Amino acid sequence: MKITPSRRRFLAGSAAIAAASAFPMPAVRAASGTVSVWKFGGTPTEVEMWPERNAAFAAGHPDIGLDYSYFYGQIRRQKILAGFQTRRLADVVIAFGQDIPEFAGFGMIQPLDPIAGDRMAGWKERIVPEVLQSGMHQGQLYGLPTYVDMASFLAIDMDALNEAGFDRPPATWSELREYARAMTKPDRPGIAMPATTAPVDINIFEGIAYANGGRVFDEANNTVTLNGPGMVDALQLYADLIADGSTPAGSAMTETNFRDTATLFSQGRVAMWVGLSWLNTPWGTPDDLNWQGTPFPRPDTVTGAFAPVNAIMDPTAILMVSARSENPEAAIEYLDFWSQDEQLALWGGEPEFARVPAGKVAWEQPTLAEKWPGWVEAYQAGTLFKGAEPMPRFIGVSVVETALGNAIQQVVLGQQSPQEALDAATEGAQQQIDILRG
Amino acid sequence: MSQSRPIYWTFMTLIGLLIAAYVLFPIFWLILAGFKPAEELTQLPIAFWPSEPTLAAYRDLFAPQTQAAQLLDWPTLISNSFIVAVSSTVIVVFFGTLAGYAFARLSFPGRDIILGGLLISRMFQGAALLLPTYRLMNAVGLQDSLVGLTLLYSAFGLPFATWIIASGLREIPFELEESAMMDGANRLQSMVIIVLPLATPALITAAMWHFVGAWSEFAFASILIESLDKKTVTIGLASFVDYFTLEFNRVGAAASLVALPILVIFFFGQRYFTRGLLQGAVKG
Amino acid sequence: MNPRADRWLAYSMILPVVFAVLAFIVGPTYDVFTLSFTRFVMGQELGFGTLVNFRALFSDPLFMQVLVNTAIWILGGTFFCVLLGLAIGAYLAVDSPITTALRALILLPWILPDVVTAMAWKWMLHGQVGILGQSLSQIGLTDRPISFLGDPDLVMWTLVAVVIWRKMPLVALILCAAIRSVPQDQHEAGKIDGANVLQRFRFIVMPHIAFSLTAVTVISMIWITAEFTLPWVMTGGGPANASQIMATYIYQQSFQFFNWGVGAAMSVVNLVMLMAIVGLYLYIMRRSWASGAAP
Repeated sequence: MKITPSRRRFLAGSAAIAAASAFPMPAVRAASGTVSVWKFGGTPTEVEMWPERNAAFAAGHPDIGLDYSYFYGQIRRQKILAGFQTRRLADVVIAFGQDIPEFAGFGMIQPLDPIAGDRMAGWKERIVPEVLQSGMHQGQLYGLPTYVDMASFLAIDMDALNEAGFDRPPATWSELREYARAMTKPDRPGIAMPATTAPVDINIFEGIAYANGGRVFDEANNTVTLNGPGMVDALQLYADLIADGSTPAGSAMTETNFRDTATLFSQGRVAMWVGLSWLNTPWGTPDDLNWQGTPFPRPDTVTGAFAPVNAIMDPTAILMVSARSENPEAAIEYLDFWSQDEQLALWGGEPEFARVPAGKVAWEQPTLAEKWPGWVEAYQAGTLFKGAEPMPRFIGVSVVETALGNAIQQVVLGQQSPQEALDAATEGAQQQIDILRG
Repeated sequence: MSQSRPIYWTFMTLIGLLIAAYVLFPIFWLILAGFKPAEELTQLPIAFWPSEPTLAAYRDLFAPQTQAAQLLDWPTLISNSFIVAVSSTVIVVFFGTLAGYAFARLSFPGRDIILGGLLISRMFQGAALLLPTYRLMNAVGLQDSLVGLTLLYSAFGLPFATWIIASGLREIPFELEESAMMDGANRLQSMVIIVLPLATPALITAAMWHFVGAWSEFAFASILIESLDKKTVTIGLASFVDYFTLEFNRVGAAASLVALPILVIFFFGQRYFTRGLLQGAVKG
Repeated sequence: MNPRADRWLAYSMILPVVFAVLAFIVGPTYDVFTLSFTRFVMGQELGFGTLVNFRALFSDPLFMQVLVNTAIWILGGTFFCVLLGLAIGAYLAVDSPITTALRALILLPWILPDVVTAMAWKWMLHGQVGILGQSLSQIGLTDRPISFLGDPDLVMWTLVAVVIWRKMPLVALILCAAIRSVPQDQHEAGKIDGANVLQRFRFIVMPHIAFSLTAVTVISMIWITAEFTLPWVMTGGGPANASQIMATYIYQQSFQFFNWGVGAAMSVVNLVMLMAIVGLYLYIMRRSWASGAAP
């Protein structure tokens, strides 16, 4: 690992390492050589703790040289593509679950089943099965997830909710419309939906539409299904909320991404906002704000042709192994390190509480129960991941999601009706995807 | 222009303030952000002046417990950028002078076409060339290296630098050089002894021009550089503005630090810079 | 002097520059040309010598909009950059304490890295959390916040305003220097002939700075064309593709969609169009260009 001497001193002395060394290290096998790792973006806490744990890996595996690189999150796909084309892809790439079919289909990454050996038993034991499932593709495991992000959730200013005469969060779309209208005050819209071109903003909508039996793509028939009734009616919900006057102006939402929306919420300038499971990231939310996060309300009647989901989820820091890795043993060693309880526990509220943890151990951390009691209750009741599906993933997913994002913006801006916008998006995306898939 | 009516001067001052507001406000706002505590950045109404000016953001850049310093060792980033910018500036000025001299003072077939072609080649850059450039750098083994970055920036900077220097050299009377050669100096000697000293403003302009460009380049650096110890300042700045982290106090602090070396250079070179631009663009 | 020897000396002097440009700019450009005629399926090359990428491009309904946006970006950006640069340059050419100070400070936007420029402007321009929106409604100019980057009618021109902010200072300085180099006796002669300020500007200053104007126009156009970070970071082509330009669409096709054949085809179209525009412009302005050329 390339770290400067001063950093090494700091890391060696840091409390985190001292705590970690109290755990017994797993028996080191004969893997040696070097392993290169690429990580892209992440929450601030995550970005800080990753290299700290790497130091522990280096200490526990003196025979393996770890070469860890962190990159600006938004160059993920271009960097991995460039690395692949020049045969310089890192041994371990930490990317999104949504990337898996493309990376596997292009021959960039390899299935882990043949190389993981007996390690996989331990992974199955320590990782929540539904989460580990999110690393599967065509019957094989392609990545080791460390956490997932789920969609979609609603953050509610409870004081505003009570003031409007309600005593519980909205449960259905029609309730949501009613709540949003009632909670709207001059200069304080009832609800805001982030609607920029940022992929996350599109995922947020997908979570709502999938719960209505919508899907973006039908893999079996190789068809884009953006204009199915499940999708159209979900987008109609956006249009209705806007038409009700319960939201900021359309052109305000198209420049307001999830982080800006969170800022508005924490400033008390919207009463509710729609986000992913990391609603609780410290976006500068003041301690005295009385707020609650709940799953996004359900459709009154499901109108989509596909099975409605409870949530969609994606492991956005999943460790994959390059198909051309010259040292898969060392790569597996690194994956296995991150499957150990002392690493998985890091997402249990201490230090990071903005992600849905993959490790069973994380769910037992008291800090997580304190930060996010709803999650832990649902997890213990076995309902948290029930009915949850992966976020869209197929070859060409980016094409379809971009077309969807464009349609969302057209509707939010009032340029087109949901049906028109999604019809055009379907046609355009189908054309693009046919080129890509041949 | 020598009007001295008060209305005229009021008008002039107003325009000046308007221009200053447009040009300088964003920079001023960023510098101010560097002195604000993090909470104040999301406060409402937006506080104009920092209520309690603090150096916390500056300290954070160098304090080892923060994300800033975990990932980004600012002294290393700054020295890397400095190495790349200075060495590519030296390369650009040296080779640009050679070529500029040829374009300005020697006549050879294809001269104007080659110079025009060089300038236009600069147009086909940006997004389209990222991937091919990455492939090229890998093919020659210069990926993830400061040497590679230096050479790449030099190639990007050479055409324009050549053009500025050639324009400057054209201004110098041929007679001076001819008389030196009459006295027995050869062409290279007369170039170094007579011509170049007179072309100092053009050389300084080209150097400053290139230095700023190399110091602030982001797109190619972000894809070519992988190792922590080879990252440059722009990569560091960008990591404050990723989706999850928008820490404008740190951006402001880091941007101010990053701009400081350039400001110092400009403080000393500004006079020459303006003169060099003048020569460059008045008589191409 | 020996012209033959001079010729060889000249070629050897320009050789390093020409080589560097060939290797690092023309090489990758050639690569892009090859890619544009190559069919890719699932990331695998399926043979060279096809027009499938170009056909896909021209049947893409979005492409027309991208062309229009790109025209606003490049032509509008260049035009207003030079126009504003000329106005401010003329202002700066006047001697006064405030212009002297401004001449030194005006270059500041140019030294800020692109990423920071883009983020800072995005932050300031944001209708709801930005300082500009708040100030405008405080002064009472607008009754509700303006979404400069969220409104499809405003976004392209907002981007143009930001790119001008970044590139104009140099244009202004160059033109200021050019205007100041107009010999004083020509001004005096104009005054004696009874020409007012505007007439003197039109008939004395403009011919004098014609070459500089041509040069900065071409250079601004090259800068704005090569600019990618600003639009990409500020809007990512949104809202509803209202700010999708060639540079961002090429990036999207190549790196988000992994459709790099189409991305390369678009790069080629882009280059051909630009060369045509620059060629046309240089042809129209050939007299001023030639008058500035070397002896």
